[in-house]
Amino acid sequence: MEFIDYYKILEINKNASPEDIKKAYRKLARKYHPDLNPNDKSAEAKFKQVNEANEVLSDPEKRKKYDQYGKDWKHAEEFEKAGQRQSRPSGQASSKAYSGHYTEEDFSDFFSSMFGGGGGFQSSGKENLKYKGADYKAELQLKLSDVYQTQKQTLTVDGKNIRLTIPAGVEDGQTIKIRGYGGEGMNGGPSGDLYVKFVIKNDTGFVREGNDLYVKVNVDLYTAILGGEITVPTMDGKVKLKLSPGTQSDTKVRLKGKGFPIYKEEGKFGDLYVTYKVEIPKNITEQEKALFEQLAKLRNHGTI
Amino acid sequence: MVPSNHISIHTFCQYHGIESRLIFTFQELGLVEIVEEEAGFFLEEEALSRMEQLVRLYKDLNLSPEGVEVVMGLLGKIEQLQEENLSLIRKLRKWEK
Repeated sequence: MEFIDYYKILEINKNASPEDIKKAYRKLARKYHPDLNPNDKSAEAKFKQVNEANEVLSDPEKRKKYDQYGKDWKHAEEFEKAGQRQSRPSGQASSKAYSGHYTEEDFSDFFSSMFGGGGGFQSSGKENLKYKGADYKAELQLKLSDVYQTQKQTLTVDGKNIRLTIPAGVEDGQTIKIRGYGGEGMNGGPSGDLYVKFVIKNDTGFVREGNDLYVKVNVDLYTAILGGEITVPTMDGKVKLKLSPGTQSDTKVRLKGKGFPIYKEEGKFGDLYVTYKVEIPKNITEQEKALFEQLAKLRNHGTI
Repeated sequence: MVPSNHISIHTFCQYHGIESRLIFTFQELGLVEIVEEEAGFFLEEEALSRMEQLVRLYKDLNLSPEGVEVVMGLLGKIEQLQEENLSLIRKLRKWEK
Protein backbone atom coordinates (compact mmCIF):
# COMPACT_ATOMS: atom_id res chain seq x y z
CA MET A 1 0.00 0.00 0.00
CA GLU A 2 1.38 3.36 -0.95
CA PHE A 3 0.71 6.88 0.13
CA ILE A 4 -1.73 8.54 -2.25
CA ASP A 5 -1.27 12.21 -3.03
CA TYR A 6 -4.85 13.39 -3.35
CA TYR A 7 -3.75 16.93 -4.20
CA LYS A 8 -1.75 15.65 -7.12
CA ILE A 9 -4.68 13.58 -8.33
CA LEU A 10 -6.91 16.66 -8.38
CA GLU A 11 -4.05 18.70 -9.89
CA ILE A 12 -4.21 21.35 -7.19
CA ASN A 13 -1.78 22.61 -4.57
CA LYS A 14 -1.93 22.06 -0.85
CA ASN A 15 -3.49 25.41 0.01
CA ALA A 16 -6.31 25.09 -2.52
CA SER A 17 -9.58 26.59 -1.32
CA PRO A 18 -12.73 24.44 -1.06
CA GLU A 19 -13.93 26.27 -4.16
CA ASP A 20 -10.74 25.29 -6.06
CA ILE A 21 -11.19 21.69 -4.99
CA LYS A 22 -14.78 21.65 -6.13
CA LYS A 23 -13.82 23.14 -9.46
CA ALA A 24 -10.92 20.75 -9.99
CA TYR A 25 -13.06 17.76 -9.03
CA ARG A 26 -15.89 18.75 -11.35
CA LYS A 27 -13.51 19.27 -14.23
CA LEU A 28 -11.77 15.91 -13.81
CA ALA A 29 -14.98 14.03 -13.06
CA ARG A 30 -16.37 15.34 -16.32
CA LYS A 31 -13.25 14.26 -18.16
CA TYR A 32 -13.08 10.73 -16.78
CA HIS A 33 -16.75 10.02 -16.12
CA PRO A 34 -17.42 6.36 -17.00
CA ASP A 35 -20.58 7.32 -18.85
CA LEU A 36 -18.52 9.48 -21.17
CA ASN A 37 -15.71 6.95 -21.56
CA PRO A 38 -17.41 3.68 -22.44
CA ASN A 39 -15.14 0.63 -22.42
CA ASP A 40 -12.18 2.65 -21.17
CA LYS A 41 -10.74 0.99 -18.10
CA SER A 42 -8.01 3.56 -17.54
CA ALA A 43 -10.57 6.37 -17.46
CA GLU A 44 -12.64 4.37 -15.01
CA ALA A 45 -9.64 3.89 -12.71
CA LYS A 46 -8.82 7.56 -12.93
CA PHE A 47 -12.43 8.47 -12.16
CA LYS A 48 -12.32 6.37 -9.00
CA GLN A 49 -9.12 8.08 -7.87
CA VAL A 50 -10.62 11.50 -8.51
CA ASN A 51 -13.70 10.57 -6.50
CA GLU A 52 -11.62 9.28 -3.64
CA ALA A 53 -9.51 12.42 -3.63
CA ASN A 54 -12.64 14.54 -3.60
CA GLU A 55 -14.18 12.44 -0.84
CA VAL A 56 -11.22 13.33 1.36
CA LEU A 57 -10.38 16.87 0.34
CA SER A 58 -13.92 18.21 0.13
CA ASP A 59 -14.65 17.14 3.69
CA PRO A 60 -12.92 19.60 6.08
CA GLU A 61 -12.55 16.97 8.80
CA LYS A 62 -11.07 14.37 6.51
CA ARG A 63 -8.85 16.90 4.80
CA LYS A 64 -7.49 18.04 8.17
CA LYS A 65 -6.76 14.46 9.16
CA TYR A 66 -5.15 13.72 5.82
CA ASP A 67 -2.99 16.86 5.96
CA GLN A 68 -1.99 16.16 9.54
CA TYR A 69 -1.33 12.46 9.37
CA GLY A 70 -1.21 11.84 5.69
CA LYS A 71 2.47 11.12 5.48
CA ASP A 72 2.23 9.10 8.66
CA TRP A 73 -0.76 7.22 7.42
CA LYS A 74 0.46 3.85 8.64
CA HIS A 75 -0.46 4.92 12.15
CA ALA A 76 -3.92 5.90 11.11
CA GLU A 77 -5.35 2.87 12.83
CA GLU A 78 -3.99 4.01 16.15
CA PHE A 79 -5.68 7.32 15.70
CA GLU A 80 -8.90 5.48 15.14
CA LYS A 81 -8.38 3.51 18.30
CA ALA A 82 -7.68 6.71 20.17
CA GLY A 83 -11.35 7.42 19.83
CA GLN A 84 -11.61 9.45 16.69
CA ARG A 85 -15.00 9.24 15.15
CA GLN A 86 -15.13 7.02 12.11
CA SER A 87 -16.51 9.35 9.60
CA ARG A 88 -18.49 7.55 6.98
CA PRO A 89 -18.78 9.38 3.74
CA SER A 90 -21.98 11.32 3.56
CA GLY A 91 -24.57 9.77 1.31
CA GLN A 92 -24.73 12.86 -0.77
CA ALA A 93 -21.06 12.84 -1.63
CA SER A 94 -20.70 9.20 -2.48
CA SER A 95 -23.97 8.33 -4.12
CA LYS A 96 -23.79 11.10 -6.63
CA ALA A 97 -20.69 9.58 -8.11
CA TYR A 98 -21.61 6.33 -9.68
CA SER A 99 -24.70 4.84 -8.16
CA GLY A 100 -25.43 1.20 -8.75
CA HIS A 101 -21.88 0.39 -9.69
CA TYR A 102 -20.08 2.05 -6.87
CA THR A 103 -19.05 -0.37 -4.18
CA GLU A 104 -16.69 -0.31 -1.25
CA GLU A 105 -13.89 -1.94 -3.20
CA ASP A 106 -13.78 1.17 -5.29
CA PHE A 107 -11.92 2.97 -2.56
CA SER A 108 -8.25 2.25 -2.11
CA ASP A 109 -6.73 0.39 0.82
CA PHE A 110 -5.05 3.62 1.71
CA PHE A 111 -8.41 5.31 2.10
CA SER A 112 -9.80 2.44 4.17
CA SER A 113 -6.84 2.36 6.52
CA MET A 114 -7.16 6.05 7.20
CA PHE A 115 -10.88 6.64 7.19
CA GLY A 116 -12.44 3.24 7.73
CA GLY A 117 -14.96 1.72 5.33
CA GLY A 118 -15.26 3.22 1.92
CA GLY A 119 -18.08 4.75 -0.02
CA GLY A 120 -20.92 2.61 -1.15
CA PHE A 121 -24.29 4.09 -1.81
CA GLN A 122 -26.07 3.21 1.40
CA SER A 123 -27.26 6.46 2.82
CA SER A 124 -29.74 7.31 5.46
CA GLY A 125 -33.40 7.56 4.66
CA LYS A 126 -33.17 5.36 1.60
CA GLU A 127 -33.26 1.97 3.28
CA ASN A 128 -36.75 1.09 2.20
CA LEU A 129 -36.29 1.73 -1.47
CA LYS A 130 -35.73 -1.05 -3.92
CA TYR A 131 -32.73 -0.74 -6.11
CA LYS A 132 -31.47 -2.86 -8.98
CA GLY A 133 -28.08 -4.51 -8.49
CA ALA A 134 -25.07 -3.70 -10.64
CA ASP A 135 -24.62 -5.38 -14.00
CA TYR A 136 -21.57 -7.63 -14.27
CA LYS A 137 -19.45 -8.16 -17.33
CA ALA A 138 -17.46 -11.32 -17.96
CA GLU A 139 -15.37 -12.65 -20.81
CA LEU A 140 -15.33 -16.25 -21.89
CA GLN A 141 -12.44 -17.47 -24.00
CA LEU A 142 -13.28 -20.20 -26.46
CA LYS A 143 -11.60 -21.90 -29.39
CA LEU A 144 -13.11 -21.71 -32.84
CA SER A 145 -13.07 -25.50 -33.01
CA ASP A 146 -15.12 -25.58 -29.76
CA VAL A 147 -17.91 -23.37 -31.03
CA TYR A 148 -18.40 -25.52 -34.12
CA GLN A 149 -20.69 -27.53 -31.91
CA THR A 150 -23.16 -26.52 -29.22
CA GLN A 151 -21.58 -27.01 -25.85
CA LYS A 152 -22.22 -26.57 -22.17
CA GLN A 153 -19.94 -24.69 -19.83
CA THR A 154 -20.12 -23.76 -16.19
CA LEU A 155 -19.11 -20.26 -15.18
CA THR A 156 -18.50 -19.22 -11.60
CA VAL A 157 -19.44 -15.64 -10.91
CA ASP A 158 -19.53 -14.31 -7.36
CA GLY A 159 -19.52 -17.86 -5.99
CA LYS A 160 -22.58 -18.77 -8.03
CA ASN A 161 -22.30 -21.48 -10.65
CA ILE A 162 -24.02 -20.67 -13.86
CA ARG A 163 -24.60 -23.39 -16.41
CA LEU A 164 -24.37 -21.96 -19.86
CA THR A 165 -25.36 -23.57 -23.12
CA ILE A 166 -23.36 -21.99 -25.87
CA PRO A 167 -25.08 -22.54 -29.20
CA ALA A 168 -22.86 -23.54 -32.10
CA GLY A 169 -21.87 -20.63 -34.30
CA VAL A 170 -21.42 -17.85 -31.73
CA GLU A 171 -19.40 -14.96 -33.10
CA ASP A 172 -16.17 -13.54 -31.76
CA GLY A 173 -17.11 -10.54 -29.63
CA GLN A 174 -20.75 -11.58 -29.29
CA THR A 175 -22.29 -10.76 -25.93
CA ILE A 176 -25.16 -12.57 -24.27
CA LYS A 177 -27.18 -11.29 -21.35
CA ILE A 178 -27.99 -13.58 -18.47
CA ARG A 179 -30.73 -11.99 -16.50
CA GLY A 180 -30.46 -11.86 -12.73
CA TYR A 181 -26.86 -13.04 -12.36
CA GLY A 182 -25.38 -9.61 -11.66
CA GLY A 183 -24.96 -7.93 -8.30
CA GLU A 184 -27.68 -8.29 -5.71
CA GLY A 185 -30.36 -5.64 -5.58
CA MET A 186 -30.84 -3.50 -2.52
CA ASN A 187 -33.81 -3.98 -0.21
CA GLY A 188 -35.36 -6.67 -2.34
CA GLY A 189 -34.73 -4.86 -5.61
CA PRO A 190 -34.02 -6.97 -8.70
CA SER A 191 -30.53 -8.36 -9.20
CA GLY A 192 -28.40 -6.92 -11.97
CA ASP A 193 -27.65 -8.85 -15.12
CA LEU A 194 -24.56 -10.69 -16.25
CA TYR A 195 -23.16 -9.92 -19.69
CA VAL A 196 -20.90 -12.63 -21.08
CA LYS A 197 -18.74 -11.72 -24.00
CA PHE A 198 -17.26 -14.49 -26.10
CA VAL A 199 -13.68 -14.12 -27.19
CA ILE A 200 -13.02 -16.72 -29.84
CA LYS A 201 -9.51 -17.69 -30.74
CA ASN A 202 -8.98 -19.27 -34.10
CA ASP A 203 -7.16 -22.56 -33.64
CA THR A 204 -7.95 -23.81 -37.13
CA GLY A 205 -6.48 -23.26 -40.58
CA PHE A 206 -9.71 -21.64 -41.73
CA VAL A 207 -10.58 -17.97 -41.84
CA ARG A 208 -14.11 -17.31 -40.59
CA GLU A 209 -16.24 -14.54 -42.05
CA GLY A 210 -19.68 -14.71 -40.51
CA ASN A 211 -20.91 -18.22 -41.27
CA ASP A 212 -18.56 -18.80 -44.17
CA LEU A 213 -15.10 -20.31 -43.98
CA TYR A 214 -12.17 -19.68 -46.26
CA VAL A 215 -9.18 -21.91 -46.82
CA LYS A 216 -6.24 -21.99 -49.19
CA VAL A 217 -5.22 -25.36 -50.54
CA ASN A 218 -1.99 -26.15 -52.34
CA VAL A 219 -2.31 -27.98 -55.64
CA ASP A 220 0.74 -29.48 -57.28
CA LEU A 221 1.62 -28.27 -60.75
CA TYR A 222 0.86 -31.55 -62.53
CA THR A 223 -2.61 -31.98 -61.01
CA ALA A 224 -3.37 -28.38 -61.94
CA ILE A 225 -2.29 -28.96 -65.53
CA LEU A 226 -3.58 -32.46 -66.08
CA GLY A 227 -6.55 -32.43 -63.71
CA GLY A 228 -7.19 -34.98 -61.00
CA GLU A 229 -8.40 -35.33 -57.46
CA ILE A 230 -7.34 -33.50 -54.31
CA THR A 231 -8.34 -33.79 -50.66
CA VAL A 232 -9.54 -30.66 -48.94
CA PRO A 233 -9.93 -30.32 -45.14
CA THR A 234 -13.29 -29.25 -43.70
CA MET A 235 -14.24 -28.50 -40.08
CA ASP A 236 -15.56 -32.02 -39.55
CA GLY A 237 -13.36 -34.07 -41.83
CA LYS A 238 -12.21 -34.04 -45.43
CA VAL A 239 -13.75 -33.91 -48.87
CA LYS A 240 -12.41 -35.02 -52.20
CA LEU A 241 -12.58 -32.54 -55.05
CA LYS A 242 -12.15 -33.12 -58.75
CA LEU A 243 -9.91 -30.68 -60.58
CA SER A 244 -10.41 -30.10 -64.27
CA PRO A 245 -7.29 -29.96 -66.49
CA GLY A 246 -5.77 -26.48 -66.66
CA THR A 247 -6.91 -25.33 -63.21
CA GLN A 248 -5.51 -21.84 -62.56
CA SER A 249 -3.95 -20.66 -59.34
CA ASP A 250 -6.31 -18.53 -57.16
CA THR A 251 -9.36 -20.34 -58.55
CA LYS A 252 -12.05 -20.21 -55.89
CA VAL A 253 -14.66 -22.90 -55.43
CA ARG A 254 -17.63 -22.86 -53.09
CA LEU A 255 -18.57 -25.92 -51.10
CA LYS A 256 -22.14 -25.34 -50.07
CA GLY A 257 -23.00 -26.15 -46.46
CA LYS A 258 -19.41 -26.96 -45.48
CA GLY A 259 -18.90 -23.70 -43.60
CA PHE A 260 -19.66 -22.76 -40.00
CA PRO A 261 -22.94 -23.58 -38.23
CA ILE A 262 -25.45 -20.73 -38.34
CA TYR A 263 -26.15 -19.39 -34.85
CA LYS A 264 -29.38 -20.77 -33.43
CA GLU A 265 -30.42 -22.34 -36.73
CA GLU A 266 -29.80 -25.97 -36.08
CA GLY A 267 -28.59 -28.02 -39.00
CA LYS A 268 -27.86 -24.96 -41.14
CA PHE A 269 -24.36 -24.12 -42.21
CA GLY A 270 -22.52 -21.45 -44.14
CA ASP A 271 -20.27 -22.26 -47.10
CA LEU A 272 -16.62 -23.16 -47.41
CA TYR A 273 -14.62 -21.28 -50.02
CA VAL A 274 -11.53 -23.08 -51.21
CA THR A 275 -8.84 -21.17 -53.07
CA TYR A 276 -6.36 -23.25 -55.04
CA LYS A 277 -2.72 -22.27 -54.86
CA VAL A 278 -0.74 -23.93 -57.60
CA GLU A 279 2.72 -24.85 -56.37
CA ILE A 280 5.59 -24.28 -58.75
CA PRO A 281 8.47 -26.64 -57.90
CA LYS A 282 11.45 -24.69 -56.55
CA ASN A 283 14.18 -27.22 -57.13
CA ILE A 284 14.11 -29.46 -60.15
CA THR A 285 16.46 -32.16 -61.32
CA GLU A 286 18.48 -31.97 -64.52
CA GLN A 287 16.14 -34.46 -66.11
CA GLU A 288 13.07 -32.46 -65.16
CA LYS A 289 14.75 -29.31 -66.42
CA ALA A 290 15.44 -30.94 -69.78
CA LEU A 291 11.84 -32.03 -70.05
CA PHE A 292 10.54 -28.56 -69.15
CA GLU A 293 12.83 -27.08 -71.80
CA GLN A 294 11.39 -29.49 -74.30
CA LEU A 295 7.87 -28.41 -73.28
CA ALA A 296 8.86 -24.76 -73.56
CA LYS A 297 10.19 -25.29 -77.06
CA LEU A 298 7.03 -27.06 -78.10
CA ARG A 299 4.90 -24.17 -76.88
CA ASN A 300 7.16 -21.38 -78.23
CA HIS A 301 7.29 -22.87 -81.71
CA GLY A 302 3.55 -22.94 -81.88
CA THR A 303 3.34 -26.67 -82.28
CA ILE A 304 0.61 -26.87 -79.70
CA MET B 1 -51.99 -4.71 -10.05
CA VAL B 2 -48.69 -3.15 -11.03
CA PRO B 3 -46.40 -5.62 -12.86
CA SER B 4 -43.40 -6.57 -10.70
CA ASN B 5 -40.95 -5.33 -13.31
CA HIS B 6 -42.33 -1.79 -13.07
CA ILE B 7 -40.60 0.77 -10.89
CA SER B 8 -42.63 3.72 -9.80
CA ILE B 9 -41.37 7.10 -10.93
CA HIS B 10 -42.07 8.40 -7.45
CA THR B 11 -39.77 5.79 -5.88
CA PHE B 12 -37.07 6.36 -8.46
CA CYS B 13 -37.12 10.12 -7.95
CA GLN B 14 -37.10 9.79 -4.19
CA TYR B 15 -34.06 7.52 -4.34
CA HIS B 16 -32.12 9.73 -6.68
CA GLY B 17 -33.22 12.97 -5.08
CA ILE B 18 -34.67 14.41 -8.27
CA GLU B 19 -37.96 15.91 -9.24
CA SER B 20 -40.31 13.87 -11.38
CA ARG B 21 -40.45 16.79 -13.81
CA LEU B 22 -36.94 15.84 -14.93
CA ILE B 23 -38.08 12.34 -15.88
CA PHE B 24 -40.93 13.74 -17.94
CA THR B 25 -38.53 16.12 -19.66
CA PHE B 26 -36.36 13.14 -20.59
CA GLN B 27 -39.47 11.44 -21.90
CA GLU B 28 -40.41 14.48 -24.00
CA LEU B 29 -36.91 14.44 -25.48
CA GLY B 30 -37.47 10.83 -26.45
CA LEU B 31 -34.70 9.56 -24.17
CA VAL B 32 -36.80 7.19 -22.09
CA GLU B 33 -40.22 5.57 -22.10
CA ILE B 34 -42.65 5.94 -19.25
CA VAL B 35 -45.56 3.60 -18.71
CA GLU B 36 -48.82 4.94 -17.40
CA GLU B 37 -50.86 2.68 -15.15
CA GLU B 38 -53.87 3.32 -12.99
CA ALA B 39 -51.60 3.53 -9.98
CA GLY B 40 -49.37 6.16 -11.53
CA PHE B 41 -46.33 6.44 -13.77
CA PHE B 42 -43.74 3.71 -14.02
CA LEU B 43 -40.43 2.80 -15.57
CA GLU B 44 -39.92 -0.66 -16.98
CA GLU B 45 -37.04 -2.55 -15.40
CA GLU B 46 -35.37 -2.75 -18.80
CA ALA B 47 -35.22 1.05 -18.94
CA LEU B 48 -33.77 1.42 -15.45
CA SER B 49 -30.07 1.34 -16.36
CA ARG B 50 -30.60 3.91 -19.08
CA MET B 51 -32.62 6.13 -16.78
CA GLU B 52 -29.86 5.96 -14.18
CA GLN B 53 -27.33 6.90 -16.79
CA LEU B 54 -29.41 9.94 -17.77
CA VAL B 55 -29.65 11.02 -14.14
CA ARG B 56 -25.90 10.55 -13.62
CA LEU B 57 -25.14 12.69 -16.64
CA TYR B 58 -27.58 15.34 -15.43
CA LYS B 59 -26.36 15.39 -11.83
CA ASP B 60 -22.68 14.48 -11.98
CA LEU B 61 -21.88 16.65 -14.96
CA ASN B 62 -24.31 19.47 -14.26
CA LEU B 63 -25.86 19.13 -17.70
CA SER B 64 -29.22 20.42 -18.82
CA PRO B 65 -31.70 17.80 -20.11
CA GLU B 66 -30.93 19.04 -23.63
CA GLY B 67 -27.21 18.60 -22.91
CA VAL B 68 -27.93 15.04 -21.78
CA GLU B 69 -29.73 14.44 -25.07
CA VAL B 70 -26.70 15.64 -27.04
CA VAL B 71 -24.34 13.46 -24.96
CA MET B 72 -26.55 10.40 -25.41
CA GLY B 73 -26.59 10.98 -29.15
CA LEU B 74 -22.83 11.24 -29.29
CA LEU B 75 -22.37 8.23 -27.03
CA GLY B 76 -24.54 6.22 -29.40
CA LYS B 77 -22.30 7.27 -32.26
CA ILE B 78 -19.15 6.42 -30.29
CA GLU B 79 -20.53 3.00 -29.49
CA GLN B 80 -21.37 2.40 -33.13
CA LEU B 81 -17.89 3.50 -34.21
CA GLN B 82 -16.23 1.36 -31.54
CA GLU B 83 -18.15 -1.67 -32.76
CA GLU B 84 -17.29 -0.93 -36.36
CA ASN B 85 -13.67 -0.41 -35.43
CA LEU B 86 -13.55 -3.68 -33.51
CA SER B 87 -15.08 -5.63 -36.32
CA LEU B 88 -12.65 -4.08 -38.80
CA ILE B 89 -9.68 -4.92 -36.56
CA ARG B 90 -10.95 -8.48 -36.27
CA LYS B 91 -11.33 -8.78 -40.04
CA LEU B 92 -7.89 -7.38 -40.63
CA ARG B 93 -6.32 -9.77 -38.14
CA LYS B 94 -7.93 -12.75 -39.85
CA TRP B 95 -6.37 -11.96 -43.19
CA GLU B 96 -3.00 -10.84 -41.84
CA LYS B 97 -2.13 -14.34 -40.67
